[in-house]
Amino acid sequence: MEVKECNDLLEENQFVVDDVSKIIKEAIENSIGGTAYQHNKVNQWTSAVVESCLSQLTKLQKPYKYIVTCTIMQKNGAGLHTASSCFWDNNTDGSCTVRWENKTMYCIVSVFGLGI
Amino acid sequence: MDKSEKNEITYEYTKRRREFGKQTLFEDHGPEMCVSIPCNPNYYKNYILRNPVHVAIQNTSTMSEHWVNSVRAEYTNSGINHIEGGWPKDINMNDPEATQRYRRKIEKDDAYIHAVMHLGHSMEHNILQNNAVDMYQIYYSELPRIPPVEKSSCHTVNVYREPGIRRPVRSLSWQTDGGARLAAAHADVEFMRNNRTLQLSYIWDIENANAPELKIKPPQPLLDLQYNPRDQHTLVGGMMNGQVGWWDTRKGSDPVGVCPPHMAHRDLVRNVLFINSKTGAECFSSSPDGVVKWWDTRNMSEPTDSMIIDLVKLPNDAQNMENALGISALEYEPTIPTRFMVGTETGLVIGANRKGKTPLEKLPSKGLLVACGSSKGTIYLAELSQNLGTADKNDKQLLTHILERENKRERILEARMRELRLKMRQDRDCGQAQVTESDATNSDRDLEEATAEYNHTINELMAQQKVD
Repeated sequence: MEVKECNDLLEENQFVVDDVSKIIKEAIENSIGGTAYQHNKVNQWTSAVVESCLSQLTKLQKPYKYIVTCTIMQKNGAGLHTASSCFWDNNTDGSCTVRWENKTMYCIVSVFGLGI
Repeated sequence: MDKSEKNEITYEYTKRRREFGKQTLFEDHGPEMCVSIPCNPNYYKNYILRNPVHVAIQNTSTMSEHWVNSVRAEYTNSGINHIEGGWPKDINMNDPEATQRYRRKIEKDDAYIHAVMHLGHSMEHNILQNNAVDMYQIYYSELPRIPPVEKSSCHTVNVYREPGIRRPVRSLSWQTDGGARLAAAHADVEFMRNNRTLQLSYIWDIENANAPELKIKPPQPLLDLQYNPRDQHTLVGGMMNGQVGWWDTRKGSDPVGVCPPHMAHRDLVRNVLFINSKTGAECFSSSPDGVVKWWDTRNMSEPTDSMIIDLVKLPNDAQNMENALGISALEYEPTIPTRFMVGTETGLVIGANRKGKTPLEKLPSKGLLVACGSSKGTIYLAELSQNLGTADKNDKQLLTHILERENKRERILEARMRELRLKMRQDRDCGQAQVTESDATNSDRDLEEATAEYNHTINELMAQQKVD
């Protein structure tokens, strides 16, 4: 009995990177899609991506706190390197970074899920 | 729009109580590279360098300007012209000839011109009258005046710090006759620690908090340093080893006179005070050894007088230093120099009398500056507001009332204690149950009496205050 409950916990309440990355990709496709880079639209895009990611993540009904960041960069030949490090519970918590691009821009979305 | 969306995101979850507060097992994770996009010079071709670049930045939030004008009030002017009236009964006012005739008749009258002259004044007065609202009118002048509320305040004016080391302040003394100087005695309470080193005391000019005006160099740490009320330059000081010395600020930091050790107090000198004598040279000192000594600064070789604070019951009992009460406080009233008050270490306050001192006039004492010393060797000079500084005509009365009330309370408590003790004694003699019962009723009555008396006093005081 105990073991079963434990397993349930492990399977259902885990931060599943694949699901999250699917959610992120969908969110980006829906908000940006194939549109070309427009400086004055960036604000709108980033908030749209972040909002839809968060709403989809909460729909998973998992006891997690989420941190979502979104970076949009014009494709002008410049390089970009970002790294992250965390101090957390490796058993439950996880992060997922998606790098998406179209012809004119890069969109990088990171989600950190922290078990409550 | 964004905000409302954010608010819509809600997630409720349940968690068992036992799951709360579990130990967290956090570990480091990473660092891991999230994204790495190398630079790609091929894209550069898609862009043209824009030079010069004009950028406008608005740091503050944008604002819009808008005017609103309230609905204007509409005014109309209308006049009434009164032409006819006041004709005698027999004249038809619709007949111009008749009225004309009557007018001419009136105008010819001798009184007519005087009447016009007379009316002219009151008419002019009415025309020149300003009917606007009087801005400077005093309203509610019939109401009684309320006394202005004074705010009690106290703020720190200056802080005087002992240069270098920080030793506790043992005493403070103001220069008399409005002098702007403050004598501070510093001594370390740890008797054995710093005894060998020179323990300076200071005289501060209250205007200069950076450095003391004069450093007093006593042979032993000073426990009390007091200004002479008759002389702005002399001070008397009591030392840790029982000696009493005096200083003259004109002559420098070293004492002018110190009493010899064999004549000194047997314990430390806790208080010294100048007596308001004619010569201005007499002072007295007290010590925990239970002796009060009188000195003449002109001749410090021996005390002029001494008194052992030992309460003897019979007049022919000899006073003994062994039984003397240690003195912890000393004060006297300048108007009655032969009388002084001694506070002892046992908690008794003794009023003592010593004859042979010359009476002198009262010293004026008034000021709004208060100095306080701290154990860190810092002196704070605070300024009080006017109402805290000056004695009200009620203050003395109120203080007397407080003292009386406390006295009464003390007496009641004492009586109660005596009664209780009596009851206890009776308890031992008689049966226990019976006595406890009567005791309870008795105490109730006492309590009631005391409460009634207290309420009565309070009401009386309140009524008095109202009258004042």
